Amino acid sequence: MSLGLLVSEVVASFGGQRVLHDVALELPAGDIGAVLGPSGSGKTTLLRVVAGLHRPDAGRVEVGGRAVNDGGLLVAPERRQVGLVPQAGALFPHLDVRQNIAFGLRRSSLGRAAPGARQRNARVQELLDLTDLGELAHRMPHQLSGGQQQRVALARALAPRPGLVLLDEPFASLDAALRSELREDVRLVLRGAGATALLVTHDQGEALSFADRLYVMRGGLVLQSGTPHGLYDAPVDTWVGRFLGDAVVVDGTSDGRQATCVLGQVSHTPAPAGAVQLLLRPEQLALSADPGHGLRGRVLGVRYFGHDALVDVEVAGRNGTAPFVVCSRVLSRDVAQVGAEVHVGVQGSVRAYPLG
Amino acid sequence: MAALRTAAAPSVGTRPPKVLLAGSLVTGVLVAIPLVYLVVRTSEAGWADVEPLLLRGRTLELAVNSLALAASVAAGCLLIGVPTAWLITRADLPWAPVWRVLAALPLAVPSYVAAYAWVATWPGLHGFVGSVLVLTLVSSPYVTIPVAAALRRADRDVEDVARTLGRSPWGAARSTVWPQIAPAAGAGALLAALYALSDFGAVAVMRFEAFTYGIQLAYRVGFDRTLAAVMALVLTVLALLVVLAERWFRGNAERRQPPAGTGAPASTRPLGRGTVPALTGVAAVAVLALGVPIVSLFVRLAEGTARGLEWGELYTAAVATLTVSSIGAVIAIMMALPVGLLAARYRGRGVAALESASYLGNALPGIVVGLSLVFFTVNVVPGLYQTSLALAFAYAVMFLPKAVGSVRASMAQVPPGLEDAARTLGRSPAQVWGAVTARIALPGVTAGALLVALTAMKELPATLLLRPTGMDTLATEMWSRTTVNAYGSAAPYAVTLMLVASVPAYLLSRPERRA
Repeated sequence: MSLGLLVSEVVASFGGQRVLHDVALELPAGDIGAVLGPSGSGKTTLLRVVAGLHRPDAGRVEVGGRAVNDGGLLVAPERRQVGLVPQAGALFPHLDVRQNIAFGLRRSSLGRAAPGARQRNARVQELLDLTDLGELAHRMPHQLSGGQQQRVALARALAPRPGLVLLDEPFASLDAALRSELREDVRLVLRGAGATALLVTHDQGEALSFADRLYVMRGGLVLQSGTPHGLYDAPVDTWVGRFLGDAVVVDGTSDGRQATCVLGQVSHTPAPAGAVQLLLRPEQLALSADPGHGLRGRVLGVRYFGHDALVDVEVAGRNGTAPFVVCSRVLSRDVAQVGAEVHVGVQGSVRAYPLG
Repeated sequence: MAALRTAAAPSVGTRPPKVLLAGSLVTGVLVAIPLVYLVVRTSEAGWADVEPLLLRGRTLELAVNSLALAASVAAGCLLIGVPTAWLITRADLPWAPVWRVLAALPLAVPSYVAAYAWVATWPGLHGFVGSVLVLTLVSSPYVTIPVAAALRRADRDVEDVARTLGRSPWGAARSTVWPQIAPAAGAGALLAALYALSDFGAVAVMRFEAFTYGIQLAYRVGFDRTLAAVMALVLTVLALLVVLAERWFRGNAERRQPPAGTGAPASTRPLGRGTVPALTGVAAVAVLALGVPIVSLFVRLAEGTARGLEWGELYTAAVATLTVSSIGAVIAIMMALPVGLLAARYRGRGVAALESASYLGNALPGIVVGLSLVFFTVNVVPGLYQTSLALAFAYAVMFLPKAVGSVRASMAQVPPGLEDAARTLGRSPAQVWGAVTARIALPGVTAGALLVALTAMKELPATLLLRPTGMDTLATEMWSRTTVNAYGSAAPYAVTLMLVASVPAYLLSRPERRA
């Protein structure tokens, strides 16, 4: 497996403040990666380091197997063959769509001869077709909608066939409906171009649905990396678990395989015996009208999404502990009425994290 | 954010109230008086009389002089303004905020004050070279300020993208930053050219025969006033051409604004070994544009006061200046209110035409407005000839664009959504106007009036032609003293004028606030 991007032991500061501590990640060639983190986690600085726009204090970066940062080596951004799609597109306001896309095709790079006019036009046309922008070729940036601008920015980044495309929260400035649609378009375009791409985002839904590989960052560190499915199912700690999606975290006492907690006996992934925290996803909590099914509770509220719904249920504590609220994901046809009595059961095995 | 922006957009399709339209029309007619009457006066003379005046070598010579002056000043301002703007916005120049203010302050030096300061120190300096030097120094902010604003607005991400697409640091700046600031630089250079073309004070002090000085000579010395009128008309045509070119450039600048701003970090480029040359450059400009006039003025002031200062005359002149410029400001705001309201709230061809008409004052050199109103008052309303009111009206016409701009901007700060909300809370349209709209817009409108008054205080050529006999303003007092080489006694007036003029210049130098 060849690597599209390798980052190892990268340390970087911004304005005297250290924002990246020993960051490492590997992205296979042709894959789409997503760096997910809250604001201030250092993800944008990481992206600027990879692009060559920010000088790291230390560490190694390889793009397509070629070192671009290593000790004293610092390859300039224009020699990295890295494409960049910034947040608001950053189209050249004085050039039309076609000229924007052609911008990166003027110079020879890394021994490749500068393309002739005919090749250049052919490449621009190819990208106009790929991104479905053919009819807008002669529009100026200010005549485009936000989504169209982002598509042009992507086409412009892809035109010189970069080894890696970096996307800096490219959907953040768009409204929700357009966002998911464009996200899917961009994914298809990247796949069609066979490009290696790295997306930076703070939106977990976006990261999970967009990427082949996910890197969760916090405080200048990559906490966990892997497939979206793997991370969602087996987060390294409760913070990552909660950051990736809705979760209920409860304390319990474990014998190594089974834990006793307010929800009763729950089986979990192997963990040392003793005090544990258990992380349950709403979809692991089933609601039933059948009293034999689990703990008795009362529906407090419903967040309805159409395809499914999140139901908040207040459960009376066992052995006289205070009542508490859990959240369950149910299909919309199974939504209970607010105030209704339900029974909460745990399905399958949950994640357990030793305490202390 | 997005909701607020759409709410503040002028309403399209709704018809403006008749009162506003009528008011704006009155303003349009008043503004047109100087230009229209100039044409009337010239055509009364008949083509047979006008043609030889127009085609004689002297007119051509003056035109060449004025155009050469304007072109040289524009080029000089670009040479000073663009690098300065880049240094104060994009580079890690030490004490950048200080340089930012210093780069705008030359606007505070009235051209004739600067010219007087230079000539008083170096009497050999005169003619074309002296005029270009002085006018370039005082009008360089016309380029520096808009270019700095364009650089601040310019999307920094595009530079990064250009780097990743294979451009070197300089290549990226040339292919992405320059196109974003070029229209602003072009428009600024044309403003400087217009300033040079319309300027009377500096060229008169420097004894350089530009159009404005020629017109004044023809009016004062010659008996044939038609010659002055013909020359004024030619000058106005030249100025109008420059204004049209400037509008075209500015339109381009607005079209080229990035579609949306991003939160890119405000990184500055390290100057490294370039720091010392850069500091030397900005310091040299500041010394020439501000240091020389100020030092020279205070040296003269010391000389002048040693011989005793005529406080009484200074006081009388100050009161006269304040009175007539305040009246001018009030007239200007009254004329500006309907137009500004209309422009802020409604769109359409008629509205655009009325707003453009209100900007006519920008194209009319002071000497032209003065001359035309002399003809107009003598022939049409003799009761107003040589009255403060006629002079105040001249100020209002000349500085109306400033007033309209302020009114429009302060009205635009009141989102119509706010008025709708007030209506739904039970207020009548009139009550909404009083309790919400006027309340919010008032500070901006007041600032506009102040700006007009401060600008009018240092006006020279129209004041020289229109002031009532026996009345002197600070500008004319200073002027009459310099013409008889009484540099020492002119100094107190010059210092007062500079203090007055530094207020709007300082306000202009502040980075524009986001609404």
